[in-house]
Amino acid sequence: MNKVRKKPELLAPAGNLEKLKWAIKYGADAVYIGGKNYSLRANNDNFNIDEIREACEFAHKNKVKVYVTLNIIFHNHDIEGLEQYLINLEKCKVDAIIISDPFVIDLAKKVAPNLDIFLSTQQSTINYEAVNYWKSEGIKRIILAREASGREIQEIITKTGADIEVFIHGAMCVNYSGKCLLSNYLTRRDSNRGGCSQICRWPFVLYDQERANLKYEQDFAMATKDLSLLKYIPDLIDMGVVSFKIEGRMRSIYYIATIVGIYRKVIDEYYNDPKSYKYSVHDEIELCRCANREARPQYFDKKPGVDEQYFIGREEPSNQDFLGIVLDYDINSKEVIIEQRNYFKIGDEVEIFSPLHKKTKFIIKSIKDEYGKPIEVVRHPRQIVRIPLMIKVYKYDLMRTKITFDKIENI
Amino acid sequence: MTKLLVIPSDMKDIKELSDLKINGFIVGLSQYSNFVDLQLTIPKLKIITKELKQKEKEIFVVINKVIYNEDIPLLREYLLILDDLKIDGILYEDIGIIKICQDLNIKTSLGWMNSHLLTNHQTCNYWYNRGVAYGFLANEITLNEMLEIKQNTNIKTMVNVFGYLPVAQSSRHLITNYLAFIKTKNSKKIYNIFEAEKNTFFPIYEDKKGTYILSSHILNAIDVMPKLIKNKVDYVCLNSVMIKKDNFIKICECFIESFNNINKPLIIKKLEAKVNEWSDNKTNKGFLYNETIYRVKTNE
Repeated sequence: MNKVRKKPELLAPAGNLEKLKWAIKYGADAVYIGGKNYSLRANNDNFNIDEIREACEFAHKNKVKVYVTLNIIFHNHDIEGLEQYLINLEKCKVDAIIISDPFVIDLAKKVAPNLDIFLSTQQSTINYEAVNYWKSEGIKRIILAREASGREIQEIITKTGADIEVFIHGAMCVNYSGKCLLSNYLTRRDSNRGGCSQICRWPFVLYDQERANLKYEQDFAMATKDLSLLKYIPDLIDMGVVSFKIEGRMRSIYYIATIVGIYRKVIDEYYNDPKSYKYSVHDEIELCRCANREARPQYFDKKPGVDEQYFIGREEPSNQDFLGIVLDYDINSKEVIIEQRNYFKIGDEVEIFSPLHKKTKFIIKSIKDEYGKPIEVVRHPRQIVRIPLMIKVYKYDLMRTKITFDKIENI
Repeated sequence: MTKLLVIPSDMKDIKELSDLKINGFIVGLSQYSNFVDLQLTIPKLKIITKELKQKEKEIFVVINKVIYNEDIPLLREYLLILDDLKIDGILYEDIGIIKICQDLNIKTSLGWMNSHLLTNHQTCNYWYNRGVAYGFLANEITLNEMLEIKQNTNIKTMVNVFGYLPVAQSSRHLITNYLAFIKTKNSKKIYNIFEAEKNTFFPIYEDKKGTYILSSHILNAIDVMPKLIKNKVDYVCLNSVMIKKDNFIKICECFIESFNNINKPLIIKKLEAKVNEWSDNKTNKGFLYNETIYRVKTNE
């Protein structure tokens, strides 16, 4: 367990080309994206074939791999067009496809033999014999069920030698993946074809078998808190997990940049010098701040119980910490040029953070609009403003509310 | 020829039902099955298999729990024993089972019985090409899709035509967790969760392995029996989970009668009404005529 093996890949979600570029800038080794069809995030922006080609070109120039999700469970009429799509993906130089429905294995091998095939978590693979089966079918990598504990992951790797990918961060399904059809039965939206309407986050009322209302004051709920394995990154590296996956193709660029940046830092720190590595509560606080739900290790260290779920109806407000994107830095006037994402004003304490984990903290003393006119507040979405700053910052840096660590809460 | 299978609730049911014109039974294996009331130990399985073989009935054992590493050593032993019993098929859900069967050179026919994932003919063919004999089709596809699958595969197709349907499965103890949160004891075996907007109840229960949610309605697909039979769907299946025993026997008799009346729509209509009457809850047609959607905004 203490022997450091291969450096794992940090795999980030990318809901569109813009998010893909941010994920790569902040340290992803690989990104996964969905096409317009066949992907379990059917209502995301997703990529057309030209965008997939562009994504591959950009990623490969940065030595980053691109995986395309084809992880729906197909109905007969969904199959039409799949063969040509696979050929097109191979031509785009996609590195791998992520599949759920096993017939795609045979088809992909036949028409696009250069594509590696990964098995989606949608198959809920959680034992070494199943992993051995998929490996014998030529599956290059298996993405385990999120229900796998650390001990089970270790045993699977030891007994199969297979390339194993695990989720390390993001939203959880309350039910086994592929085995939850609540969305189909309540809203007719097919969860196994990307239409999940997240029924597990709806409130219910508990009745007895004879349908008598038990009249509990509190609604019945099955919503889960998010997953975070930040504390267990050293264990996962030591186990030999080949890929660490972050969930969230529909998340914001701020979320992607923050989460990818922190995991990049932790993986590098531990891998490069395990003896000196120390867990940072500050990293954990930053992770918590950018999400709208609390996070837990879920199944990694014990079976989840009461503390891993939400039972009280709660709002999930959008994060207001994210203030703007650095478009450029004017070296002559010593001003940072910011594109607004949330309201800010003169006097606010803010920080700009970079893909290299550099943080520049300052108080906003003055603001000019893009025409040079002084203003007090920045309230318009995507408004471009100039703020004086003596320290040089760069494109792709992000500005957020200054995070203080004097109160360690919600951990 | 289409055959009629029943998933019984206890050993006594099998004895009574096997006197009817039922072709066979699907039973669970103790600790290795879900959504099936009757889960037998190996000694009981031996007894019932012998009895059913004497009556020339088929018997399938369903192993559909999620298999964890710790389940595998015992499962290997059980699969060897099942192979010796000469049952008609092992209906598996977890893919690990097919690997174990390959390694142990199990001769018993296999069937993929995943409640939700067998939704197209190509996947049927994938399993058929790997030696799998039976494919239990997902409950969430339409009748036309089922018939299209049948026309395009050599796998023996199985479909549900009656009973509560599995909707969701969690390894968490969702009822226990909720009741612990509100500081109340868990005193009942089965509950219902009620969703107000859709005015719908879903039965929910737990066991050691986790939580299970069933459909709000009982599937009554007797009206499609003529089409299934004419299109040579190989097996139709009735599940007795949560159905009163006496009612279930009457419902089985209706389905048996439907075999003799595939060209008599009025009789089928009457049988349908009887099944509705004897079902303990509201019935519906599941997704047989009701295709699911998955894209709610334009994505081009």
